[in-house]
Amino acid sequence: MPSSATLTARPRAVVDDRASEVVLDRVGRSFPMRSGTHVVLHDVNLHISPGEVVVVLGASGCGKSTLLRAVAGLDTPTSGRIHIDGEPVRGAEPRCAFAFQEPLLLPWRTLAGNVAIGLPRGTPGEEGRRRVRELLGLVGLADFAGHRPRAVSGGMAQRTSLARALARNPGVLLLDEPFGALDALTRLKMQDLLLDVHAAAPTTVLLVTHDVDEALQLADRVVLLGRDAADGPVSIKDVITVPDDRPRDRGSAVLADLRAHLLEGLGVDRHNGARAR
Amino acid sequence: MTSVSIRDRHSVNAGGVPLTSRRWFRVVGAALVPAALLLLWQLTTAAGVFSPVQLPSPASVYAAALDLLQRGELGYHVAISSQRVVVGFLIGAGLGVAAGALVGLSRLSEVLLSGTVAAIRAVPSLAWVPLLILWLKIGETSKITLIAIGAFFPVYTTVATALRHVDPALVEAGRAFGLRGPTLFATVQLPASLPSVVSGLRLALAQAWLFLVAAELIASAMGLGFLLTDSQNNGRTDRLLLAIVLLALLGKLSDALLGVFERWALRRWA
Ligand SMILES: Nc1ncnc2c1ncn2[C@@H]1O[C@H](COP(=O)(O)OP(=O)(O)OP(=O)(O)O)[C@@H](O)[C@H]1O
Ligand SMILES: [Mg+2]
Repeated sequence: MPSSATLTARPRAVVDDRASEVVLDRVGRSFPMRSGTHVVLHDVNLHISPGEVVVVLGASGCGKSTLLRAVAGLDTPTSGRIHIDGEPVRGAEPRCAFAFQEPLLLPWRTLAGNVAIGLPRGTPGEEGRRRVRELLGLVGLADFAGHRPRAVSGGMAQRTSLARALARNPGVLLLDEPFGALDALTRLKMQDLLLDVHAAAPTTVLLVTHDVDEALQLADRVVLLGRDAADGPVSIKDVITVPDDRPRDRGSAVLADLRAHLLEGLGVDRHNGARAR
Repeated sequence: MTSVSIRDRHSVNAGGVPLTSRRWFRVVGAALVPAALLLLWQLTTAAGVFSPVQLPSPASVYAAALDLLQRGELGYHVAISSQRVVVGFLIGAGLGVAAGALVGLSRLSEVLLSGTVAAIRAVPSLAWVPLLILWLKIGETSKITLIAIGAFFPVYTTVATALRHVDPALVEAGRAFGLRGPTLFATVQLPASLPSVVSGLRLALAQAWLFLVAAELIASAMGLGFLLTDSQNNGRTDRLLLAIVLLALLGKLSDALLGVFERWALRRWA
């Protein structure tokens, strides 16, 4: 839980009514396998306040994407409940927008056409086109609006996918490693962009990453997923509230301590045989 | 965008377009083999290798064409056969798209229908003829039904398979952005499967011509298939050859029309 001190210290008391509250209540997900049931997530409890930025950190294969898909209503948990603004998630959730781990753009549409998919239903044509142009400009792809996904790089496709999610003006923004395919510099730019967008319209953000520094730059809270036993189910191992307003000084001692703490948290998995990356 | 593969680099000329992509070369190149065949035909008949009943000369086939044309029969045969193909193809392909979409999109209908359809498909086309004649008499309906059966299966199979193989992640992405039912179909599933659907249509058209001849050979008083049997019975090999040439031309022409549509579809959707 975020301490009330950090919450009130933020200059985002004016939380847009678009931002949604997300509550995960003992969420579990297992997959039936030939060799028996494969329990991926177990007993995940999380309360995300409207406008909060929560970053999910965890080793590869620990169930981060599975968790995000459940919040988006694209996957149904085998146990527990997920509520958005007090209403249970049932089927593809209209209050969420998703930037998937893969860009998943429609190859026959231009980048602009793909971003337009994200626009809320019923956006008038002219306003929609304006917004698509604006978003493509934000992610640095203004000159590529007419290109097909096949004609742009993986990182450009990923930024298009981010723009498509932002186009939705969502109550909850679900970002699954949104900067994974980007070079270091573009990555920092896109992190800043996300923070700018969030500052302008503070929506709730649930972001998955492998990168501890990225987590510490972006998050109000970092949720660390991990296992207790080597082949046991994954649950929330630790929740860390990151102090200070963004942008944060990368060299600060507090962040250094938190980084060490988080790396240690990820490293415990390594000793137990799971890969930390 | 004019990158050149290594294979074609030898034939590149000053303009940077490989020779094999040049329009004039493609037209002339495609005409070479037919011209050579025609020449061979002319030479063998002029040398008297075959009797005129076995193989009449190109000139006499041409004369037969003019003769039939003047009597108004040629246009009549071509028109009625083309009409049967077009109507049968449209009906069969339309039903094929509908059934293919049903089976490709709904697991339940796949379970219920796909086995039965596959069994019906396994029936050789000519096996239907007696039954169709018994039920629908020797009229237009029986012929068009047979052609529609022929056109149905290639379309059905390609549509169902293509829809089933649309990347599920792409469909899920569509769902995540609020697309459902017909909008999801129109925005994601249909465009994703369109290229293979169009090649299914081309297959179906070829099948339609095949089934046309089957239908007209067996029971007909007009059309190119009738021209074939009638000429055979009267020993008019010149007309027989004419019918074959016409079938080749019509088949190629209709396929080319669909090819234009296919190129448009691929440019637009792939
Ligand atoms: N449809 C499925 N059927 C069976 N198992 C699945 C399915 N989806 C996910 N899993 C399992 O759930 C586990 C977590 O997968 P998930 O994609 O959520 O991992 P992740 O944390 O996002 O990993 P990464 O960081 O590599 O993206 C994996 O062990 C995977 O095998
Ligand atoms: Mg993942």
